[in-house]
Amino acid sequence: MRSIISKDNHVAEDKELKLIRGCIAWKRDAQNALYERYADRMFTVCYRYSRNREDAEDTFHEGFMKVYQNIKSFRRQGSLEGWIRRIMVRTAIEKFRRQAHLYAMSRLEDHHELPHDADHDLLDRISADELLTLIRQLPPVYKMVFNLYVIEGYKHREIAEQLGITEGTSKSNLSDARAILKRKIKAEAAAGVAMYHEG
Amino acid sequence: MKDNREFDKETRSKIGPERMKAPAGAWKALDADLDKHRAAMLQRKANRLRAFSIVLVLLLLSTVGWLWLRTGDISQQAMQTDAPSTAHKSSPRQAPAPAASAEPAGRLQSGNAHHAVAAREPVAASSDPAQPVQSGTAIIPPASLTQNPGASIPNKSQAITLAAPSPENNETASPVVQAGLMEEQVSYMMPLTSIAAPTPESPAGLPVTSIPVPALPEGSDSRFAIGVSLAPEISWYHLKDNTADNFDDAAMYHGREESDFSFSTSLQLHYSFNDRWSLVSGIRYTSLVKSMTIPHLVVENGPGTGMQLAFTTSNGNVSMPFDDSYPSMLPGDSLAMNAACKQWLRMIHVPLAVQWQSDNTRINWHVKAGGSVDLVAGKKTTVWMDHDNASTASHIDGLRSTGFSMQLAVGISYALTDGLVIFTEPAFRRSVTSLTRGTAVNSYPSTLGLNTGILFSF
Repeated sequence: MRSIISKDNHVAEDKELKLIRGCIAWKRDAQNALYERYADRMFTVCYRYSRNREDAEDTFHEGFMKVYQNIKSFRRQGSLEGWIRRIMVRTAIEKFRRQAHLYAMSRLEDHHELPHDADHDLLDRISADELLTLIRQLPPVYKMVFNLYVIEGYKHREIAEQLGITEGTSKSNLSDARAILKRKIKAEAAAGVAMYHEG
Repeated sequence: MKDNREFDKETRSKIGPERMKAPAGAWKALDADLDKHRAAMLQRKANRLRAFSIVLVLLLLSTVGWLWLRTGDISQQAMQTDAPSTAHKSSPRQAPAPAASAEPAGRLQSGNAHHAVAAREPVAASSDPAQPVQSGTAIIPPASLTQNPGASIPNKSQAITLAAPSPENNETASPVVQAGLMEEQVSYMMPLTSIAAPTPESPAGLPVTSIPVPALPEGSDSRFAIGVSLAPEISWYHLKDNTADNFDDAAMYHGREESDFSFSTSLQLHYSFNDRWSLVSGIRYTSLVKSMTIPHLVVENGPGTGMQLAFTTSNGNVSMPFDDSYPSMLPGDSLAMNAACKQWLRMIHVPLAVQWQSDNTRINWHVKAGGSVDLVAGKKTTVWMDHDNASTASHIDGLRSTGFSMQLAVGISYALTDGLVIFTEPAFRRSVTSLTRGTAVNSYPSTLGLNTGILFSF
């Protein structure tokens, strides 16, 4: 059994290596195969960081171009998917930084009085799709910090470096993002219940 | 805290496996862009190749030109001295020359300039004293060396010194050996001009050569020269904190600003006092380029009724027009940007320097030291708000319009022809006055460049 798994792994690795080499040689079929393999997963990542679908498509396109241009620097020390994902996240961060002038610095006092709900089953009340939509509706800086910390697992120090903010701001933004999200989930869930009763 | 961790974990597990479909036309768009990128990549490669070819052709042309000038120079001198010497430039080799003879092959008259011309074939001396050799080169008969030991030919150039054979072993210095050696020596050198007497260091029969120092062509005694030069330059800044607070502004600017590679070009005027000393002036155009990251833009009231965006750099405070597309903001608000920014300061320098040069020969080295008046001729700052949205401002407060700097250069020059000299010199320049006034830091730029140019005497 072990030998079969090992053999499968080798075959997969060989395929991946072939794919990488093909992309380095700028072979279109290899580039297309790489795209087909990771497109959906990466678009989901881009979508989480974007304001809307168009924005996500831009990030996705830019990210994939970077993947093709830089694939020769992939050292195979981690998974190829992880490497591509990091490129996508970085592309989204760069885009956010470039467009930062569109977002005035958030006045934190607006959100200071937000309730810190302790509901454990809060997330059970809404679907994954709805949750994703709510996350995307967060103010841009909050959305970035929330995604980077909660989904990607970045540390506050790393987030601060990436976004050009202080560690304290990152922590504060995360706390505010959670509070806003909880409030919105509650509101969404309540609206859903009301609609159910009306229906 | 525990609630937050739970919330994060649940969020992650809920949306983690969520998949969305990639846009339908995304691959088509990528495919088209990959083609464009490939074409651009090939174009860049072609451009690099073209640039390399141009440099190569220029190098080849200059080498050929230099060789042509040099050959012409030697031929001219050979022709001038053809009559008194035994050199025959183009006489064909009619028959193998006889073996070396113990008899003298001819006499070298003291006082005659003796020039050799390039010839690669082995040379043999003629047995007939009256008959010049057929190989097309100069022959120095041992007898003449013996009879005129230490014979010196008065000439400006002192190219080669030969030791004459001593009377004791005159026989060992056969004409063949002498002639052959002479040819080997002079084939690649300048005119032979003196023959020295035997010394203990130079055994009889063995020619000893000194290092040839090519002479400057005669007639280059003009006092004025004009030249042009181009220099790739690197620059760096010495920043001095100008404020009394505890915040280190200099360190902050060093952290977010970086000097870029640039070029300078100059027109030089030389006035020679004598062979060694000259005064150099002219005009030099440089551009100081800096790349920076701007963390914040501050909204402030502009000179009129409108508002402007402002930020500080170590080279003055930049203000740019307020864009209506920004969200509604009030003076005092700031935008977190971390925007990329580039700043150009175009300077005109009027230098005055004293130059000392090693000798009045073909190859010289020189030292130049002096100062210059520096004028700010233009200033520009471009901020990239977005990927393809750049704003340019030419208003920079706190920049002095005039400054002073000192300069030092050490270089080498080569006289291509009479009056035409190419030179190259690493040159260092440092501002003695700050570029800025009344700002958070004083800024003293320094540059190091490699001046390469051409100088024409008239």
